[in-house]
Amino acid sequence: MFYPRSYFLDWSPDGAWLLFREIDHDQIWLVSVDGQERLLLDLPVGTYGAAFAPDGRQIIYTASRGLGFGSEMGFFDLTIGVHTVWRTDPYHVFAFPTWSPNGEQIAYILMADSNIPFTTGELWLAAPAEQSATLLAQQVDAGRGFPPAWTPDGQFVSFIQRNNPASLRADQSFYDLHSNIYQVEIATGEKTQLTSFDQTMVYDIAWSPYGRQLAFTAQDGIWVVEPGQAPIRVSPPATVARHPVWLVEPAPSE
Amino acid sequence: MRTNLLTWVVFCLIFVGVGCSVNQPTVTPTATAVSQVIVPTETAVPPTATTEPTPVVTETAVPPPTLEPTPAPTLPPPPTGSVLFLWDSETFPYEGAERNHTLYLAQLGESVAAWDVQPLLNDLFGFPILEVSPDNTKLMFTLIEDANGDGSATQEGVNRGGDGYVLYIYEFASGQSEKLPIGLYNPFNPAWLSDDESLTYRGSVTVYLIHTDGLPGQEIAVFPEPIKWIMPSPDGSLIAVNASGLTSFIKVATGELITVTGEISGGGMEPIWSPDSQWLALHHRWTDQFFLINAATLEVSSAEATGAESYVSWSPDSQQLLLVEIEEDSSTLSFLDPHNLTISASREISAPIFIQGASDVKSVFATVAGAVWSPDGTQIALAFSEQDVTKLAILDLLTMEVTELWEKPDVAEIHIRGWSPDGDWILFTLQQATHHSELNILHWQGGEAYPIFVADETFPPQSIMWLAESTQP
Repeated sequence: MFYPRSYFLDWSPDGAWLLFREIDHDQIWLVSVDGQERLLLDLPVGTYGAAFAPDGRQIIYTASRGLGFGSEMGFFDLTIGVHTVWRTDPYHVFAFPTWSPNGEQIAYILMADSNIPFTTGELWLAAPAEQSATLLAQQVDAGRGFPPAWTPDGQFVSFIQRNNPASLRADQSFYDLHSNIYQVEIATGEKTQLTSFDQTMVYDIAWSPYGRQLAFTAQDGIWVVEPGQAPIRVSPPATVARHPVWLVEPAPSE
Repeated sequence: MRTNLLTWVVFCLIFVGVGCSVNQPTVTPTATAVSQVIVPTETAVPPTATTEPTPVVTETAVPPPTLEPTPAPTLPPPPTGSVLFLWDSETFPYEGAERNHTLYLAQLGESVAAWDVQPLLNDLFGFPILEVSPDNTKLMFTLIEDANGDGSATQEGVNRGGDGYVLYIYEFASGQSEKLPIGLYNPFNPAWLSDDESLTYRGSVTVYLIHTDGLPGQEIAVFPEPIKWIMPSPDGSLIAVNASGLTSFIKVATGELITVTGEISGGGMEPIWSPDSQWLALHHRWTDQFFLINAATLEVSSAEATGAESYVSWSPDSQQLLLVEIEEDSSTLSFLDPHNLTISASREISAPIFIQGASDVKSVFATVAGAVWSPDGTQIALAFSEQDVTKLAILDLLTMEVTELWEKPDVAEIHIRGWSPDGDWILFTLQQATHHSELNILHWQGGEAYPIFVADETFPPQSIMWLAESTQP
């Protein structure tokens, strides 16, 4: 298959399929990794995000016709091929709905629909198919593409908090963000700060498979932090390293 | 009556309006006002709407009985006004993501069963926003402009920051369109003010006012953080704004900014002005919060709704708020007095009222309940599903009786688009099977639904609205 303009959206939980958006035809495709099967999903116009539920039976999608049209978020049932709208907002953009590990909750970012490319947003929490939702945090960085990250045990959601929300430069320039990592405990709503960098862009968060450490990017290097501890730079100082992905979790040091 | 479904906790917060100075520099437009006539080009011919064929009666050997002649069915008086809608005529399977809409005007022919559908504007690429002026003489619409000069004007170009939407005014009498010198691309939430000559819109942090007489747009308020929403009052005197965690009013005449409250913030809030501009209701469907602001006193009342999915709309006389709560197998309509937030009446229906699709005229991604007030405020048109049959019904507010008017099985989506200006007809769309859609009208006393427009194997009509007869002398 050759699609000149497309982007990857998500892996299926079993690793056998992937989702991607083909831009020129505004289509969302589900493709087997061996390339033998591909399915065009019947999703709304302007679907820009899609993520598998942990059980692989449904997808949560986000869609918008563009600036000034607000957005919608809904579910696509892969067993029957039908989508249902869950939330609409004529004034905001839904971004990065992220399933909890047990599939019972979804964290998502909501940002004002505006011409500002890198605005701040809100972190919300909701149960699938229910209308009610809880506001977890404000001044969350939005627009740069940093999704919230659940701890593997599903007890916390981590996110990128913007330290310079009033900076007009940071609204327009990707690398003028000053940020730190925070997390919210789902049961209590209590927010704690995991990093304390000063005037630094901290981003790209990834929990280790067993949730002991959080890897992230800052100062062109890869760092890890354990909650309550100081972060440690793990990439060589003289190199540029970004976008960490865990393959295996190292054994805890004695 | 489900009195337990709603727990209203009323308290009042009085905020003395703090006058804030607002910058009012004149914007120098970067775009020159150019009068542009949109010439029809290869207009898609709309399919002719036809009623069900009349069955042919074959004579048999048995002589027919002699009967009194059956009186010809009398059609109810046709509605006043016409219907405007957008339609992209591309047939399924669709090639590419770009949409090319034509604006059509459906006018009554010889009877309510015969409509004449003609194109007004062609080549409306992307997803235009439309709004008719209050006096029904002009139409505001957005159009994509080739802002980056690459020779194409596309929605994808808008999304990538290359192209941009601009504002046009179309005058029904002359058929002429004129671009407004708004000085920016992608105006958000454009809306007419009540003088029929002015519009408001917003950028990311600025609220603008522009007149249709060709003068450039004017900033009337600038905020330090992105604006979440603006909503002009129906009488055009105030613009409600939510930005920086504050809900404020801008006095259009003076530009004065009046901060009302910081209690109401967070995404997902839906602002709804009462038709008389006395009240601003703010409803948050996710958090069950409900606020009511008295625009004269700036008094803020709040209440908590139930966990049911709920929708709010004002009665035409602004004396009642309809709260529709929708559950899996039932719906409750409650009527609230805005002065004290008490329920004056309630009616339960043993079926879920439809949550109407995400295709509105001005805000694409919005949902409303299929419960629409008649213009005189005496009835509510309802759309609901009962045992897989889609039904349209009327709730008589005098008797609180529900009368079913029309039903059809296997309807995928139904959407009440509004009452006719004379209040006698209900305009609705339905989608059935794959790529079949209809735009119909139904008399409030029932009978046959008359098609205005039918589309097969193609896109459904959208941005549908009544065009009342001009109120301009």
